[in-house]
This record gives sequence, C-alpha cells and structure tokens, in this order.
Amino acid sequence: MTMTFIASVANPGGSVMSFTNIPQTFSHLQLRVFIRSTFNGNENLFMRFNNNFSLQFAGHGLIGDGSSATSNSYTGANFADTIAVPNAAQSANIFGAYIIDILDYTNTNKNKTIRTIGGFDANGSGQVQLKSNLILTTGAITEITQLGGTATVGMATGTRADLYGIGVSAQTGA
Amino acid sequence: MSPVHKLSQMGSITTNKIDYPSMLAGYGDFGALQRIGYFISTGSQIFTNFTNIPQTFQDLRIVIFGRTTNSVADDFLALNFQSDYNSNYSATQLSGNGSSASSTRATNQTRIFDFPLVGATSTSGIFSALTIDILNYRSSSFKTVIGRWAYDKNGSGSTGLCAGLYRSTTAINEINCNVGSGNGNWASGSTVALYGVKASAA
Repeated sequence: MTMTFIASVANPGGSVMSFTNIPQTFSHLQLRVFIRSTFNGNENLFMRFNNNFSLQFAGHGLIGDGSSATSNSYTGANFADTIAVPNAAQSANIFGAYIIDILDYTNTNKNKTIRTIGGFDANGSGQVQLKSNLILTTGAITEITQLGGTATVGMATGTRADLYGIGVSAQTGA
Repeated sequence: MSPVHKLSQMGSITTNKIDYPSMLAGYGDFGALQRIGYFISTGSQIFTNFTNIPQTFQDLRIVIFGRTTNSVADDFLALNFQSDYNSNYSATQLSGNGSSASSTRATNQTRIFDFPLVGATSTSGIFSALTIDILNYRSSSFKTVIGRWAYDKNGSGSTGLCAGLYRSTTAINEINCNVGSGNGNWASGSTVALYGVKASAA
C-alpha cells in the first residue's frame, strides 16, 4: 500500500471546501480533515460529490458521546451526513479530526461506500463516531464538490482538509 | 542487491539522490506516509519518548502492537505530549467488549489513558493493536487525537474509538508513550512506531 498526497485546502474562506479533477489512478481515497465551524449550533461534517446535488445517500453511525453508546441511520438524503463538528459554542481552539476513506472510488460497477472515523473532545463535551455512508451511484468519484459543516455558515481559521490517494501493489494487491 | 533510488515526482533520479539498500531499509520513505521512529521491546523495556519530531509533516500517526508487564489483565497506554504531565488532557471514548457498548469521558486528566493494552496476567502472546492519528500537530490550535484499538483474548476483548484533546497551542515535537498502571514496562515483542503524513508532493 502506498499513500500519495493529492491536494490540500487550508483556511477556506467560503462555507465549503472542494477538490476537483481527482486523479483516477488510485485504488482508494483518504481525506484527513481538521475542522471547526463558525456556526453557533450543532452540525455535522457533510459531503457532496461530482457536482451532482441529486445524488442520494444513506448512512449508519456508531456514536459515543461520553455517557452512552448509540447507533443511528438515515436514508434519502442528498448529501453524506457524517459526524458532529465543533462549532462556535465550544471553547476556542477546539477542532475536530476526521479520517474519511472512500473505497474503490473509480469503479463504475459498484455504489460507493465511505467510512469515517472521527470526532472531537472539548473537555466536558464532544463525541467520537464510526460512520458508514452509501452513495447511490456507480459513477466514478471525480470531485468532492462540498465538504464542510451542514449549516454551511463557515469554517474557523485553522480548518484544513488533505486528500490522499491510496495505491495497492499490482503484484500482491496489498 | 542493487540499491533502490528515490525518484523525483517526474520519475527521474533526484539531484540529491538517495540510495536505499532495499525498499524495506528506507523505513517506508516512499509516499506520503513516512516512518519517523520505531521501538521494539526485546524484553521488559521502558520506552517513553519520541523526541525531536520533524516539523515537516502535516499529521502524525502512532501505530502500536503492545502488551505490558504490569500484573493486570487489562492495562492502558499513558499518552502525553511535550513531557507535559499537567491536567491538560481529556478524552471521549466509545468501546465494545463483546456483550455491550459504552461511552465514557475523562476531563482535566494528566494524560490520555483511553487506549487499552493487554496486561501481563492475560494469556501470553496476545497484544493490543492501536492506531492513533494526531492531525495538524504543528498548528496553534489545541491538538485533537483520533484513535482506535482492538484486541481479542479468545473469550474477552475490546474494540473502540477515542477522541482525545491536548489543550496546548504549542507545536508537538515530543510524544511520551508510557504504559499505564503500576511500574511495568512494554512486554517483549511490543512495537511502537511513529509515522509522519506529508501534505506536499515533495
């Protein structure tokens, strides 16, 4: 397995981040996101792909909020709804960290599955979560059109996302 | 064996060519994930610090395959940064033990202790597998740690996630990996590896 840097977005001025023209030469993608929202309320990290706002998504989550473990799910959304992000209500300097794997993103015979591990701790609040998201499309992922908080208000200075390609050995598949 | 040459992004030999005796001897210095440091316990050994961590990566990753010599069944990693043992740490944990799932939180701690390690009274030859990511470790914000672990002892075990917080705006150049309880050490065969994740094509 090799991990190759593709692109970064740091300190985005707008309400979402995006990655376009994603190379179609890797086996998988990994997004590493460090984010804090400027919205003063609860929201999740979300994604849309391929500049197609009609794509349908579903998901399942396993959540720990510091007092109990729960599971949730959704269907019929037009975005990938993932994990809570820290917002303006949290203490300053608290950012969430998220590692998002998009498997077999170039395959045109399969719907796409996203696995996200992430969350944040704010010394008295926060959550950690494992999330699966289904994108109901067999199209290759060529663009992460929107990445940000669901309120799409804005992201605090210091927010960034880094996109990597994951390659496997042609000899061993590892 | 012919040496392996590190190539430029264009596939040509770089001006300052690096020759490795083999792919393995380069410590994984191929691609965005590069090994910075490595420890393997050959007995009951203390390992505490990765120091002088290069400030040239975007993220850090710790990969542990570990077990302790403390006389307990279930032990834990005591994770600190910068040799800071003040109450600047907190964590939110999610875990499953084979019969139920739970979540706990610890605030104002002197370390992040939410990553389980197998202790000495457990069946020999069983280790915990931990992966801990420290995103944006050079930033001037507080440091958020995301980790996951797994171990199974053929009848008991644990798997889970942890979001940890280190309330310091200082760039991290030192990581302290002690074993948690008692005065034990890392058991023989335990490994602790530190990787850097690059966010540039260089």
